[in-house]
This record gives sequence, structure tokens and C-alpha cells, in this order.
Amino acid sequence: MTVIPKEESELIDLCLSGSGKAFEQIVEKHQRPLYSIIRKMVIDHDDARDILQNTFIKAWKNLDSFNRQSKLYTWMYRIAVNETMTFLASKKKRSFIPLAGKDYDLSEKLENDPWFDGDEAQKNFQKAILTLPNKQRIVFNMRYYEDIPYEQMSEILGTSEGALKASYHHAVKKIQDYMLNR
Amino acid sequence: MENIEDITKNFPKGDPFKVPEGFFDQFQEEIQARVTRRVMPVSLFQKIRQPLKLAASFALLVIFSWLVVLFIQYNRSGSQTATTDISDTLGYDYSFVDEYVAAAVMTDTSAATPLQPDAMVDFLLDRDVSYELLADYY
Repeated sequence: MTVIPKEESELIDLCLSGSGKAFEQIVEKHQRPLYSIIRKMVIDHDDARDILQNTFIKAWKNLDSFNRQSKLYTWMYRIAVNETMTFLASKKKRSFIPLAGKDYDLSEKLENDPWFDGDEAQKNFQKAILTLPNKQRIVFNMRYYEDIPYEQMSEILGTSEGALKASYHHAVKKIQDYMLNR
Repeated sequence: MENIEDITKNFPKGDPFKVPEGFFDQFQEEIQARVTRRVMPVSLFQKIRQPLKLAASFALLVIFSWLVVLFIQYNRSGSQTATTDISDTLGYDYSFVDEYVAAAVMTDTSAATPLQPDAMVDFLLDRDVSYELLADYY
């Protein structure tokens, strides 16, 4: 079990005493990596912003239940992943309801995203990633883009390291097949 | 079998997802505003509002119980008064029923079981009646 660093523990204590300034430091430190993983999952910037906002508000509200047995970063990542998965599941459920509006098509979002700054190869690569199931996609993104160690990923996703390695391996192969067959 | 690192070497590098300029600064301010709103210092009234509500509820309960007790007591005395009222309505005025009247009724020979004078004297002695009446029966 990991015990969090002393400075982090003190920062949490300050937050629990109601210090918004202390929480500001937490937001500043974690907002970019959390946004990055959320954005790659939902593609749309506005959706990513909303999910990131919910993540921090939930973290602030539930900070007293954080048991300090894992790093704060891991705990916040877990909240962000849960929020993202819930969001994607709700969009998928919605697309099954007749007359509920247009399907939530991530490829289409990618095509129309004004904040996507990649070339054609990058776009194809993202489309290949989008063919993966959500859980596999998050494993791939965490490993490939964020370079998160399997041990930490295991804590965040509640999956064994072996299963994560296998999942990543399959994901890479699928992406490679997609890229070669285009 | 192809090494996984060899495959990923050929994948595009870098993060193609950008954010609007100043997004993270603005985002931090938004979160800060929401969090600060949640920890606004509470006034004295806000602090005591909850216990005050509890005390008021308790006081109301006590007052209500007291009113119920009063109502029950009032009804009981009311029923006693009602009995007197009924006898008044029926025309009985017990102030006229003195020992003479009672004795006359009890010794009435036309009654089904009239009392004998000796029995009457014993009866009246027990009830501490006037000597005048007792004398009549002796």
C-alpha cells in the first residue's frame, strides 16, 4: 500500500479545513493530465471540460473520504475515469432511444473538432483508436500518451497488471491492423 | 512475434488535441469560484438554524401535548356538569329532599316494602340526623 507524501497530506488537511487556496494548488497540478485523458476519450473539448469540472467538484466534496493509502493523483484519476465512462455509457444508452437525437458519434466529433490540431496521419490514428472498446481505449491512451506505469493503472482501473498488459497488446495490434488496411 | 514497441514506433507521436488559449487559467478560476462558494463563512443564524428548528419542533410538541391534556380534562369536567344539567332538566331538586321527606317515603305503608319505625330509627341514627326527627319516631 502506498502512503501519500507528507506535503500532499498537509495540502489535503488544508483543503479539509476549507482552504480554497490549497485546493487551487491541487487543481493546478492535476488539471492538464486529467484533461488530456478525458479529452482523448470524449474527443469534444466542451464535454471534456464538463467532465473535468465534475471530477474536481467530486474530489472536493469527497476529499474527507480519501483514505490516503494511494496517491492523490491516482485517486483523482479514478474519479476522472469513472466520470468519463459514465458519460460515454449515458451517450451510448441515449443513442438506443428512438427520437432521442443523433447518435453520439466520436468519429464525427473528431472530424468536426475545431481544436484538433493533427495531420491526416494523426486523424487516422485517432480513428483507429476509436474502434477499440472504451475500456481498451482508456488503457491504450493511458499507456501510450500518458506513459502511466501498469502498477498505477492497475490501482486506477481496478484491473490486474497482467490483464492490462494483455489489453494494451491487443489494442496495439488492432490499431496496427486498422492502419495497414486503410 | 513482432515486438509491441516496434509497432508503436511507427505510430504518430504527440498530442493532437489542443485547448483554447488561456483555458486552464480560466478553468482554475471557475473551479476556485465554485469551491469558494461552497466554503463561504456561515452566519450565526445559519449555524443555529438547525438546533433552533429542533427546539421549535420540541416546543410545539410540548404545547400540543399540553393542549390535548387540557382538552381531555375539560371534557371530563364537562361530562360531570352534564350529569347535573340532566338532573336539572328532569326536574329533580334535591334541596327539597330532607330527612323528613326521606323518612316519609321510606315508611310509606302503601309502598311495596315499607321500613318499620325501629329500623328507621336505627337507619337515621347511623346518619346522624336531627333529634327532632328521631323523637317523632320514638
